[in-house]
Amino acid sequence: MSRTVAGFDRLVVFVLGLVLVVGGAATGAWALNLLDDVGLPASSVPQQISTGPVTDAAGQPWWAYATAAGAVVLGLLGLWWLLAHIPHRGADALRLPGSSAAGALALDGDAAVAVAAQVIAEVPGVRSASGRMVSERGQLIAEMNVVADPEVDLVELDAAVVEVSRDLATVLSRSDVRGRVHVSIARSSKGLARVA
Amino acid sequence: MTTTTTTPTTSQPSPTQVASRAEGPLRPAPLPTGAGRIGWLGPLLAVLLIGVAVVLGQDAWTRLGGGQNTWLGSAISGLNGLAPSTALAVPAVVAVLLGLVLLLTAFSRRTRKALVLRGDLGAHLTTRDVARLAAGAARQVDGVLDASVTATRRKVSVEVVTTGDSATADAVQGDVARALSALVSAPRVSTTTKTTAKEGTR
Repeated sequence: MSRTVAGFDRLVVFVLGLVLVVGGAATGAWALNLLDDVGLPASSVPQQISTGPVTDAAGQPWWAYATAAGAVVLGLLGLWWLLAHIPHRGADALRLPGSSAAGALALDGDAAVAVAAQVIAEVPGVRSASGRMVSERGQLIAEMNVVADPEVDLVELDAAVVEVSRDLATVLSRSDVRGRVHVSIARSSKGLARVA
Repeated sequence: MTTTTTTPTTSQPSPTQVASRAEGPLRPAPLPTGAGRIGWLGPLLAVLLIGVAVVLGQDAWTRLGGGQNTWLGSAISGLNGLAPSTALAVPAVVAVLLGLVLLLTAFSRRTRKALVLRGDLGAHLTTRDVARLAAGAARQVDGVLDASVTATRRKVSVEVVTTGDSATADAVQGDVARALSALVSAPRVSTTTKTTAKEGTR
């Protein structure tokens, strides 16, 4: 999700919240005849809602076209807004240093990170590890997800992760790629019931 | 993975060789932050907007087809003749409360749950995983029958059910702290013990 969409979310939530607070407060004050207390005499506010003008407008021939146009615009806006929340972070093949007019050197970043993850998966206590290259706000990130047993030795795992990332840095040979490793812990140990 | 894979030709690599190969591990990327409530509120509002579009579309479709009974029309005529009443205050209060929640959400900070490991890469765990790790460490202590853990970024509360040995609490405290020692800012560990239910209900 881009910053634009995140900002748009906050803006809409803010505006909608403001409308609900103000509208709710006004409706409540009107319903309980409290508007008098805030300086609005009862004679200046309607004592009954009449939707007559709207019903009249709805009877006009242009009304159906107006709602149709509104439906299309709001529907497209809603669809864009919803789809904009779907993360798409895949990265293209990495161009390696040494590329020139004579030929390009490219590396499938996903494969390199996946191999690094396989190495991490060999650490005792690690159940599985996966990795891929993602592009996040213009930044290439070698992202790895490690799932470990609750009994894993974090110090050992951490050392292995740093070691692997050193190799990965050598393989990628691009200093602009960052690394991110997320370690998650399985809920329960697997088949290691302790008898005590 | 016990030896480095790059093997320089000389034991003392020249400065150019050092510069030409990538030194050290990858630099850490910024930690991911949870979006919090705004994370699902945005998509929810998008779906509601599509819902509004559907209502408008149904109105247009019905009227263009010559019909008169539309959802929008029913809603408008339902509001007709609405007069001040105490019952109307209930939805008004609900709207105000909902609006306040939305306003708070709009200004809320993104949630941060990540705890970073000491290594240069900045590998991280979430508080949930720290809790599971602490529980795993506590369960391995002698005399512990069961352990449940709640964790924040600053504090880990371990609650263990023990066989009654008084030394168990200290052992749990030590082992959990050791299990979390790889974290850059290890959370404080507090342990409470309960003995088995048999004694408690007697």
